[in-house]
Amino acid sequence: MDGTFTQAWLQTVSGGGFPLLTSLTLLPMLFALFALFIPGEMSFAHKAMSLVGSLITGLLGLVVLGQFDRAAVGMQMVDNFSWIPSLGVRWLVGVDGLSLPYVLLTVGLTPLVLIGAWSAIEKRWKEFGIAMLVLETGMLGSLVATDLMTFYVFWEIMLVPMFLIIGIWGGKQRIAATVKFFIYTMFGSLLMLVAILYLYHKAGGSFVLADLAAVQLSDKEQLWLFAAFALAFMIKVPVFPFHTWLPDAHTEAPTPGSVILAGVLLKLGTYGLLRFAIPLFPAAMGKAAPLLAVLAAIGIVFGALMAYVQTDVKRLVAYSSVSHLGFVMLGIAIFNEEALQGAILQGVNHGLSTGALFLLVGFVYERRHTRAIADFGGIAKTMPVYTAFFVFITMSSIALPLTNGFVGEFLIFAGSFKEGVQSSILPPDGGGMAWRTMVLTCTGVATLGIVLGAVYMLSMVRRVFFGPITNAANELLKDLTWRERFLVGTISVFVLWIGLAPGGALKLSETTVHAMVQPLRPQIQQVRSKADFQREMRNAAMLRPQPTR
Amino acid sequence: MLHDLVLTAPLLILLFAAVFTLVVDAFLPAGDDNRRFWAYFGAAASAASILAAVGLWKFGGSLEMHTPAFAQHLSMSHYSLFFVALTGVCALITHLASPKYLSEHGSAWGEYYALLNFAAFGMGAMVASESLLTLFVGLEIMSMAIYVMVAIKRTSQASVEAGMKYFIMGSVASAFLLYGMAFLYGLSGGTSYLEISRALSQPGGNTLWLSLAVLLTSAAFLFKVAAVPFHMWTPDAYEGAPTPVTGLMSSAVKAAGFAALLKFLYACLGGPAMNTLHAQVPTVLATIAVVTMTVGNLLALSQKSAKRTLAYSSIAHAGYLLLGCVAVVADPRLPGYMQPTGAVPFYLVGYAFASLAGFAALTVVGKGGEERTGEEQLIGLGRNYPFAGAVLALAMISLAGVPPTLGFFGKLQLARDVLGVDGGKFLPHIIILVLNSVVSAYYYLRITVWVYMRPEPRQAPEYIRETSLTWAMGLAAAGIVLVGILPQRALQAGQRGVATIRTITAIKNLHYEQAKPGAQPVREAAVKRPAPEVKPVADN
Repeated sequence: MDGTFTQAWLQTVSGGGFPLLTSLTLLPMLFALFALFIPGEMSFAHKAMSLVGSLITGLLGLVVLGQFDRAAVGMQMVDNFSWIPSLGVRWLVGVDGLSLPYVLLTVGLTPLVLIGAWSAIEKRWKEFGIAMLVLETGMLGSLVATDLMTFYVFWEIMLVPMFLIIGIWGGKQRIAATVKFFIYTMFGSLLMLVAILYLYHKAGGSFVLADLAAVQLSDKEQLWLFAAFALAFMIKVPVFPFHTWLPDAHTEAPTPGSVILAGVLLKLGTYGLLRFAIPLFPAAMGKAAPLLAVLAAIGIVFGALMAYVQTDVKRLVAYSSVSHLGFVMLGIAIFNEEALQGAILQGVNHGLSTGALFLLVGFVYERRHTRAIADFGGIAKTMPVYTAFFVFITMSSIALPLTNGFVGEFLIFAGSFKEGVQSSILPPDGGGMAWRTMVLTCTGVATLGIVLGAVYMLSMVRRVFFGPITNAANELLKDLTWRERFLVGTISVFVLWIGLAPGGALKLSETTVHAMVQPLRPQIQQVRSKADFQREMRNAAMLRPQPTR
Repeated sequence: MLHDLVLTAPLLILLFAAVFTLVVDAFLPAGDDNRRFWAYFGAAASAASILAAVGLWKFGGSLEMHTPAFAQHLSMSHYSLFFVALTGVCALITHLASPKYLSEHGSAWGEYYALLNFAAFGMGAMVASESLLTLFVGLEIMSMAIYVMVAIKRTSQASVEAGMKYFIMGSVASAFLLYGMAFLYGLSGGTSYLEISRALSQPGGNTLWLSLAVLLTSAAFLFKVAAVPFHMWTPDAYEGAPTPVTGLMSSAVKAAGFAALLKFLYACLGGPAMNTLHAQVPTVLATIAVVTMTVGNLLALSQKSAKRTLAYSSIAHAGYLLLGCVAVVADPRLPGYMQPTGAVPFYLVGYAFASLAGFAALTVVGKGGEERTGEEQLIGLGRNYPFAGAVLALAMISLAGVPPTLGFFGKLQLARDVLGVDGGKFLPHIIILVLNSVVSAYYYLRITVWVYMRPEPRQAPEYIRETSLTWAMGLAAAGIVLVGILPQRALQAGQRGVATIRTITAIKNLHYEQAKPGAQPVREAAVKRPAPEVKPVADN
């Protein structure tokens, strides 16, 4: 469909197929536009407006799920319009098994968060509602875009609402935290933008992912471009040395901000790696995979250790995110089918369990206006329902069997042990030995992380919930209201459902993962063979330009 | 003659409005309310000028109206029309933003609006000029008007000092320009861009004198657009000037300066037959650009007042724009050359809207005689005057270059064009630009933080609230968002504008070739003409 964006839009709406994904993406923004014209004093109208907007988006999300063909390979429900012809930017959106789980997570989590915000956000609901809706559009747009410039636009759109959410409704140190978050993320993204433009020129003026993936690049180019992409995504995840913005942002953000940040935003980093960085630069990924695996293992242990020493519950959960996302990164670095399936599922799991944990911490913060572990103790007596939910979500977070966390982490470990023990693609000349040893080591270290996860979570639970009530203020705590029970209850249902019957969730991404690993894995593995490595070293020694593959 | 008049109608409307304001204002009774009329009159005149420009753009071609006017001294090409319309929009918004502010500061003179119209006329003449004479006259009409407008708050020391500083420094720049022009005249024997570019593209010219001429003229332009090392006047002039005037300076003056610079660089020094000097111009420009943006951004980091921050930010943006000029003036024969898409005009649209919105929003805190735009004044703006707060935040986000605002697409296109030059030769410059954007985000965010996030004082400060000012903010903000989400039209217009200076130069050169007797080699013809006229250099 050519012609300008608006024309094409009208054409599609009048005839042809309904642009489902386009509507899904832009609907929250449309509601934000309506909300702009409602006076700020009518805070109930804004609560209702944002909730209705996100609920309708949620329904559309269900329609997308209904129409999704699990067996099909490639993008589905594609809308393809010309957006800015002068620059070759296309509005090209679609879903596959990689993005659909996260799309569903986004449209599901946002209404829950907005319901949770009814009590958590006390002032300026107009700005808050608009920010949340724009944020939802940003997240959905980043997930469905397959034109890199469209993706980049949405990727950056997410920044501003999050900046405002942390900065206006956050805690005491909110301004420093939010500025740090913004600048950190923007730094990574802008270097990625340069890389995108470089690719764009190489591809002869297109931002479409398929066109860019067809570009022939030298090894050196691949490496630099991959570095630019990976940096942007690794900051977002965040992978170990780039994680410093996260604890601050999480701790200072209001509950809804933390939930969205942990639930969806971080996952966009891993999603970006899988969707863009790795398929575009497989050879560079091959070189970087050991580094990624090591960083992931460090992140797992480091995050867990840091979580253990926190005195603030929210900060503890924030560091646990660093640890959990380390598992996801490990799965991505391994890049075989089991590990990838696990990584995608673990992303969703982390969104559910950590999102629920932040909600739960928020509930008690609204009652006591403190989050310090030392201020609590024995509140299981006054808040039994709350305790039950908290302990259940904790189990999910530390990956107890029958919860969703177990399925995800098990798959990642299954994948990495398989990679370490019997890597089928590697040449038999022993070139992959170092890689295998490293994978096994990283996996071992990561397993340690699971134990540490139990240590910090359970000790926190013990200190907060059990034992005698030491603080008199805790004796008058009220248990969860029905609204709050509904929120965590809904998430718990999904936690159990994925834990008990993971087949449905895994099937969503099965075909896509298979179709992704099949062609890419050989390309990634190729550079790891010993013969390749030796040839490259010879070339480098003789200062000869390397032959392009 | 009629043809000339119709063609220059967008400019003549402004000139007429200026003179009319000046004359009739003398007969109006005293009182600020009577002066307010001139704001609306000026806005209407600007709107009429924009309409005329749009009309010429649309129908000029079919009426065969694109030829140069007034004996080739002006040309209302698509390029000129684009910038006449842009500066017209800037003037319109400035007219709307001014009246209440001026009353608050006891300087609601009818002359202010006359000068604003004169300035707009000068800018129009400047961007339409095809010869050094009209360029200089336009530049001076604009500058003189702006000098006075900067100092129009007669009782404010800062304003008068700013005007004085700007005037003296600006005069030096004008002297440089004239001196450089004299050299160019001496070297080529003509004042029109065509003659100069023909003469300069002959091999065997005196490179030393030419370099000197280019250096002197460029210095004057760099002064006008506030590029390093000619940026010293900017912070003081921007801060001291009445806020609406600052908005005009950072939007329209910058746009006109860049439009004229680009045309001068391309049409006058460049052309199809490029000499060795011209081949170096992109590299030199790129270096100045990188230094300018870095200096501007680093100095902006430590500013305490929003106006001063934006002054340094305007230096930084001059740097970005200079880098954009590289793509336009680059030699098409370079490997990997990609036709530029009008990044500079489009970027200027984005920058103009953002800074107009920003300064219009800052105008609201100018209540009472003395004016400050620091943290104290801006705290709580988002709460107490949500519209102004939102517009200011939007302007900052656009200046920082975050999508989906216009500022992002401007930067995107600029980076794209520059990266397309010479197979990515300027990749390091683009990386520096990008890092600069990250640095700049910090101080733009700081202003947003003041507006929205700092704990508010108990007593809300008083703001200037006025319908026309609201319109000014609304227009600028609408520009940022609407053109940001659907940028195609503006992009195309800018592209076409840049294409015209290229094609016009090419066509003119073609005509020039054909006018010569066929057999005569071009070199002799060009050498013969300027030879006896080299002497007049001494006159200066």
